[in-house]
Amino acid sequence: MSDGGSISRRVVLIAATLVLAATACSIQAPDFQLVSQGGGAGPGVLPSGVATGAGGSYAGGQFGGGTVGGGGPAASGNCVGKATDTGVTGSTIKLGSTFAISGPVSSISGPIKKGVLAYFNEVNATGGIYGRKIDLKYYDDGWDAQKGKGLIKKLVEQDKVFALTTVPSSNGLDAATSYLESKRMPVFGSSGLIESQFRSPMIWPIGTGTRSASRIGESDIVNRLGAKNVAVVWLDLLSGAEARDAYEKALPKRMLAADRRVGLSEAEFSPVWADVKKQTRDWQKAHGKTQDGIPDFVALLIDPTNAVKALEAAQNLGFKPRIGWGGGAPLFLDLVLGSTSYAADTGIYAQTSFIPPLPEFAANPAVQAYIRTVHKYYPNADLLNPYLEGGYAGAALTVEIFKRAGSCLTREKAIEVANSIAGYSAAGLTQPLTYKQLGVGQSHYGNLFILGVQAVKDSKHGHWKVAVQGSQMWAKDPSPGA
Amino acid sequence: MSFYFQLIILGLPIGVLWALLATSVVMIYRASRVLNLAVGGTAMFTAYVMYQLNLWGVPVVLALIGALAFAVLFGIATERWLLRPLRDKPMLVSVIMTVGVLALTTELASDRWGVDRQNMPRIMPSGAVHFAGIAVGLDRIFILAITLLVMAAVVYLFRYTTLGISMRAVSDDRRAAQLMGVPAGRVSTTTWALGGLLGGTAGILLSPVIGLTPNGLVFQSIPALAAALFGGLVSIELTFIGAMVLGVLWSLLPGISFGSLHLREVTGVQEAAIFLLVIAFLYVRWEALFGSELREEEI
Repeated sequence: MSDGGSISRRVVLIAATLVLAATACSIQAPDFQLVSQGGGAGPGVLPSGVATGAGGSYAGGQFGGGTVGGGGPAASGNCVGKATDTGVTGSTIKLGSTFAISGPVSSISGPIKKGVLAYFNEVNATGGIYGRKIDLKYYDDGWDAQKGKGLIKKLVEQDKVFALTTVPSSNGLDAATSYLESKRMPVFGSSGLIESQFRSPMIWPIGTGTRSASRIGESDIVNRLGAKNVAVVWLDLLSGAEARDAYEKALPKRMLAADRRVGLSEAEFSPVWADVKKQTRDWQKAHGKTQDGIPDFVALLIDPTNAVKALEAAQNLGFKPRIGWGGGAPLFLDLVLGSTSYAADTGIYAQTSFIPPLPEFAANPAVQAYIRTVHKYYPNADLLNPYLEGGYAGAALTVEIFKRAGSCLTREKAIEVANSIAGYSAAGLTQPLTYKQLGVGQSHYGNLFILGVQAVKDSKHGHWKVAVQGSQMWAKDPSPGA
Repeated sequence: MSFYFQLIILGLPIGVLWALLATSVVMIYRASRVLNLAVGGTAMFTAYVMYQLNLWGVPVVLALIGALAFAVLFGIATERWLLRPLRDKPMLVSVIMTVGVLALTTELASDRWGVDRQNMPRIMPSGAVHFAGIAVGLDRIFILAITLLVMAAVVYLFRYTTLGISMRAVSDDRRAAQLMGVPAGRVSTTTWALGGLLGGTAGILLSPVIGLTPNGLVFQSIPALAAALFGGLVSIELTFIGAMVLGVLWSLLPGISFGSLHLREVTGVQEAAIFLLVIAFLYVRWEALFGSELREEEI
């Protein structure tokens, strides 16, 4: 090889190493969506398929019918038809949001957009709020915290939105929390995936917190299902780590048989199960039990794609916990049941913060309205997806706050109203939300309830049903924020 | 001890699959001097093609053949229409073009099939083999066997066939090879076709293990690129060894404890280990381990 060739190869090697190192920095949460929506932003698409302008701004309203509660008495205030604050004109309320439509958690975060847009579209179709239609400006941040923070700043400073709504890309929201507080920019109806959302005076989550859900899950596993030991397999991302911490705190230490971290890019789960078996065997040895390496229960605190991989690898190896496996909302997806019958065969449990469209709730008018509205704009949407439902309920909370604030809508008024919400069920799909119920400072643990579901076998891969019937159906976190 | 032995065994199938992807990178680099960062995209898209064909009712075997044919054509098209026009441009321009191909394939797959995991048609046996107190999935053994066969064929091709010798000649000195009558353009195209085939095969074998998603398979090209760097982008044998070491490390590291320090609790320990190893290897390998020998002989 010539010297020039040698040098050029070294250049390539160095470049490749740099690329590799740069990629390594984001391997836990990388964004390979190299063609992103313009500046992070790009053309969004209306539910009807109508392309929007840059940034995905839309002002729906072309859809008629529906029973979603928009409206408000059009002549009840004296500011109808007038601009009242930044982002509020006589005919529109400009809201902002960031979604992780691309990137590593897009299977969870992406569908949320459908719930949000369906609700707002229906509100606009029924006349808007005091005659003002919702104009939602949204960006895809690919679950990148810094990109998400930058886009949130853009929404506030350049797009001049009135408020933020839902912001399901919680990684970026987490990074932008201090900024939003400094600007007194409210976020209504966020996911609640990350604890910091509940502790910010500017964020009102719609979902039950990951820690609350984990505490309830742990209690269910021990008290109802009778597990004597639990193996915890958790995803090393914000909410996965929070769920694991909650389990570790709630679970008596003597019951933790195995504790295994996995990454988002976990290539293969066979070694994970080998490790869980080994740890369980060690635990059994230490507690004088038969050393078969099989835990009573496996808490799968991971994303749905990894959950399917985990179950398939377990099936291949013939590994199954004595009682079953379970986790939070990420497992409550058809995706998890659709890939393998092993989930239903071996007993898998999941959770949701919202009344799900399961047969048990088929007669519930709110559930019927949810199904009708989302299907109207997204006929193929997975209605069972608790994140999509959360987006819908988060949009409903936002609209309710604006309605209660009256026609002379200002940001401070909306904040005041949000802090006074008590006993309100968002879109009829949540248990009563009360943002001051703790009575401690500005904590916003509004939703404290969890519904447990479990997979049951059928002629296909299985289906979901409510785990506990009757008055115990909804469990409440007794110690939010602990 | 059987625990660590099991982790080592379980790391081998992933290692060989990374080796397959890495060999695609090395093969293309040797023949065209282009670092193909799109290898993960090729792997992913090929798997989706097989998935889609099967969805349309094409029998699994035909879907497999169709997908592999697509991978070959994709490699050829990339070389002929995207990279050949850039031959006289600085090398980094071609590398950036491959990044563009990666972005395009990822975007197209996300648009067409969505970001949720899709189920690949099953081509591998299920169940497990139990030996020496450990359990290994039959599909993993199947992957190991298939990939080793493919790797052996690649080594044979490079060492003992006219095409392989032509590839090496073009790699050494394109102009001299042309003067000797080697059709450098055709060799380059053939290499991209084979590179596509290897990448596509890896995608089809990997997707049932890691799940068929637009991003999941692309992630796997990262350790594969690391393995290619092990081989200095030229040595298939060293690339293979590098990939196997990485696969075993990936599996083994979280199972290792030093007293009360359990590596499974250390965030990013597997990723960090891969890159530290690559950097260390790049530092010491050429001069200390191989001197100038490798540079002269392997290229």
